[in-house]
Amino acid sequence: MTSSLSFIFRIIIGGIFLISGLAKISDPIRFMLTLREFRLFPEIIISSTAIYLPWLEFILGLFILLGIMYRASSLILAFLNLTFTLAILSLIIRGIEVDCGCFGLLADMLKLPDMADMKAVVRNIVFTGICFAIFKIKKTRFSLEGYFLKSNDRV
Amino acid sequence: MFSEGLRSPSRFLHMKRILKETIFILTLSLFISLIYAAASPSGMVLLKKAFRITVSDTPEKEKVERGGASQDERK
Repeated sequence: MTSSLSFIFRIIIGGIFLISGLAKISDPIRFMLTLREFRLFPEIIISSTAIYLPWLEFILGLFILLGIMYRASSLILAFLNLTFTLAILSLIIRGIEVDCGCFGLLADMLKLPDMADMKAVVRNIVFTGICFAIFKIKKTRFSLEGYFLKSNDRV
Repeated sequence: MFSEGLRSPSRFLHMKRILKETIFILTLSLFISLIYAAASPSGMVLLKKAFRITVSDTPEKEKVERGGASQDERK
């Protein structure tokens, strides 16, 4: 039962972060401009983050979806989500109304709500909870890691 | 409670494995992102900004400061 739940969580979180990572990779300049609007970091960190973060999200999403090192990936993703939550909370406290940049180009194309507001905070907290659940549940279904471990056992 | 858990060898080994995997994932992402940034034009702009390689924005600054055409334009 728990392994099925872990599998469902993996598909949800993996799918979301794979797509959001791809959307940001396709337009890194836009992501950099969004980060600049947050007014949290100096320019050098903003540019580096705009290069690094989309790929990190994409790889974490892919690994969680395929079940490769998915426990470590979900742990990293949980901490990433906590950071996003803190960043959005700081925006709300300072009264700055901007896009949160969570889904990049995809938000425009699918007209998804992408504002940095309390909805985004709640969404990120839910994502964090799901990531911790994936990390906590030790068994899962249909993972490449499990498949290869079983193959090794047979040999 | 947490330290007690770490004292058991299997749990310690498990946490060590998670830590190794975390470092591997972070490094892999770093390499891929740098390679992609070096290969794509928009990524290159960000790389130049990140490593503080100035991209001829001095004439624009001169324009603002002097309130007229830049040295390049005058030539």
